[in-house]
Amino acid sequence: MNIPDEDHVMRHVSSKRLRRDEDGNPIGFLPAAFQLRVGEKGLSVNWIEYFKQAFEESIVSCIQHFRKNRGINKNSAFGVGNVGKIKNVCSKHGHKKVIIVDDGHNKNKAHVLIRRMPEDDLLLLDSLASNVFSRCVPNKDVE
Amino acid sequence: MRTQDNNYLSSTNNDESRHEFSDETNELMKTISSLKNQPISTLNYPNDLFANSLSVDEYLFDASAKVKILTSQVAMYLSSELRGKIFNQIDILHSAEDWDDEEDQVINQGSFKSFLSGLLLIDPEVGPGIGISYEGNLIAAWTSGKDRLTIEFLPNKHAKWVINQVIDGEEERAAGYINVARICDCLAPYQTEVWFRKSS
Repeated sequence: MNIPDEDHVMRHVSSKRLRRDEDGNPIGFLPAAFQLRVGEKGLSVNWIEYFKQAFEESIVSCIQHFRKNRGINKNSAFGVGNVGKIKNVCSKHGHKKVIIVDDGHNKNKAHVLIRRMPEDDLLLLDSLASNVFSRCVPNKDVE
Repeated sequence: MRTQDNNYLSSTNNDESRHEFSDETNELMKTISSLKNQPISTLNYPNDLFANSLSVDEYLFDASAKVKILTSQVAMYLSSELRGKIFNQIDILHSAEDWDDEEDQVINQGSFKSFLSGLLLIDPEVGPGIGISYEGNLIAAWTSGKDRLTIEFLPNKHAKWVINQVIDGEEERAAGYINVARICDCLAPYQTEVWFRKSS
């Protein structure tokens, strides 16, 4: 199932791939945060609207859900992006076949994959990091 | 315009032997060259961790120490402020409390040497924010409002870079794969002072 364009997805980003200022303070995401790793079928994200609450509450639930499913380090962060905007930016960079599909399974029912992403389009990754996943929620800001 | 630039660069390279550089520049070139030629003692996670019975703390401390030692070899060309800020970020990135066995790598020493070469050539007053790629390559990022410069330094003296800069109200974007030795030439068309120079 395709995720509706008006919905949102959340990407967990390790502290290693946060954009920092020269003093080491996180100020956003590096393009590498949205790069596919070798062997990955798609970019792994979670579906925020799956939690069926008010948007801000869904964000909190989504982060808590991430924590249940995998180890989340203290200084990592979460990027929030709109599905339609992700597809639009991919299309503008020539990747018109990108799809964002439900990949929910027993362990993680909110799991979504962004499929058919290019492996190494730096301009696209930079756009995703700075213009699409423009909301950064530090893990330590959520109980 | 591009052809003209290429001709200029090619002629610059061909004429290099005829240029006379200052003693300071010659010394800097020698240092960069010695950095490039030095063998790398690799840290291979997780093999080293198990083979040497290192704890994660020890492994990360060792990785930090190795890149700091590399930095000390060019310390005379870096301000103590810049060096301190880089070391501080290395400690943040190699922190045990944020270590993820599944997806983290320590900074690759070959990549770090490429980074030092690039840093010496750029000679910035403002240091970069630092990150690590999934492959263990050092990523240096300078940010000034919407203007962004991101460079991933590769172990083979090369680098991948991506720029976003607003020039005359228009957003200009570019990316490339370069030999680190050409880093200043590649960045020359952009207003790099917004990233590298302190605003007065």
